[in-house]
Amino acid sequence: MSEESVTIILKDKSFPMHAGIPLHKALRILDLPANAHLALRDGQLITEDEMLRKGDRIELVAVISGG
Amino acid sequence: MRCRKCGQKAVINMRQHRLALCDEHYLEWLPEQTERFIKKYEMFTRYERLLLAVSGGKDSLALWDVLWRLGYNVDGLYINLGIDGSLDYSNQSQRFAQQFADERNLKLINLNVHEQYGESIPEIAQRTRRGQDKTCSICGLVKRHIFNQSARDGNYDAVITAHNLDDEAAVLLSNSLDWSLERLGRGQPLLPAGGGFVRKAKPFCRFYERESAAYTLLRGIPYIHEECPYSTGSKQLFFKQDLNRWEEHMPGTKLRFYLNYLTALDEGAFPQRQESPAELDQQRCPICGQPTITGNTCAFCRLFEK
Repeated sequence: MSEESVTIILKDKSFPMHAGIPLHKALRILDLPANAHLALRDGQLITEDEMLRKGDRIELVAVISGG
Repeated sequence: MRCRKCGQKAVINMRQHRLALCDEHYLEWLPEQTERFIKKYEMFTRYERLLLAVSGGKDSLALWDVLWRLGYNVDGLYINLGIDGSLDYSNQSQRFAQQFADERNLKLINLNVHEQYGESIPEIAQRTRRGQDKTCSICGLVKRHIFNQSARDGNYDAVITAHNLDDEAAVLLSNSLDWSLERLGRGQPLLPAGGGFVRKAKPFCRFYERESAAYTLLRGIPYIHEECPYSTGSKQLFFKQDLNRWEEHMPGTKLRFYLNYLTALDEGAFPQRQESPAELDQQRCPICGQPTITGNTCAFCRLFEK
């Protein structure tokens, strides 16, 4: 069991997450569709198969706009 | 995940295409595909003057950047709608649009609805029966009127909008649920000029929203991330969220939905606009001179009737 050492940030909210799981699994846990978000690690876009590492801060960008 | 072209680390995976690309190849791929769609749908040429509807958001700034890099002759039109929502939303958006234009030495035409017509969009919506709880409807009507009028006044050959596939699929879903055959008959990526309407084209219509956002981020283009305060709870947003849930389980659902619709449209599955351009030409609004289906005062001018 890995500790919750990853922080996922979406707008002004942050969510603790386990390290050692792929990004798409983390998004599923948070009930966020992967195709409605982009993820940045250290300012670089990453794909949804990327493994989350201890100490990661992942910034999510919601891409759906409407009106 | 690795880039299909060079084997470097991928930055985006487009499941509907089974295509992952690195930043360098993604920044090549998206403009190449845009050019392909422009040619496929015979939207416009490099010899024509284009007016792009710019909102300060990711889609319109990404499209402006792509068209500029591809060598098209594009000016931008920003319409300040007077929307605040405690975010100073319209003014913030305008600053992003202006910054983009200034950095590339591009022409941005700024039009302020309040200065031009004496009221902001929320004020018009609040005052009129049509606008009650339907600010987005008023906003769309006003923007369509201004885009067409500005393009005609400026002798532009076409109005360009940055609608993406998610936008088109959401509208398609809404019109399908309503069985609105008349609306389903006019969802083409290119609407030809005629009867006082300037040609309209949507070069980003086959990109997912996520793809234009990725382009904007990778190019380092600043854009307004906040949503229009009036879009909260909008029907379009609701349909987009549902489509994305389906896409999650069945990659390519949105793309197939839209492309198969375009095929059906081509095959005449939906009725086309009844009026010929010549007929529409006879049906001008007596106040603004823009085309109108009824032949009387147009819906835009009716907003300001005393």
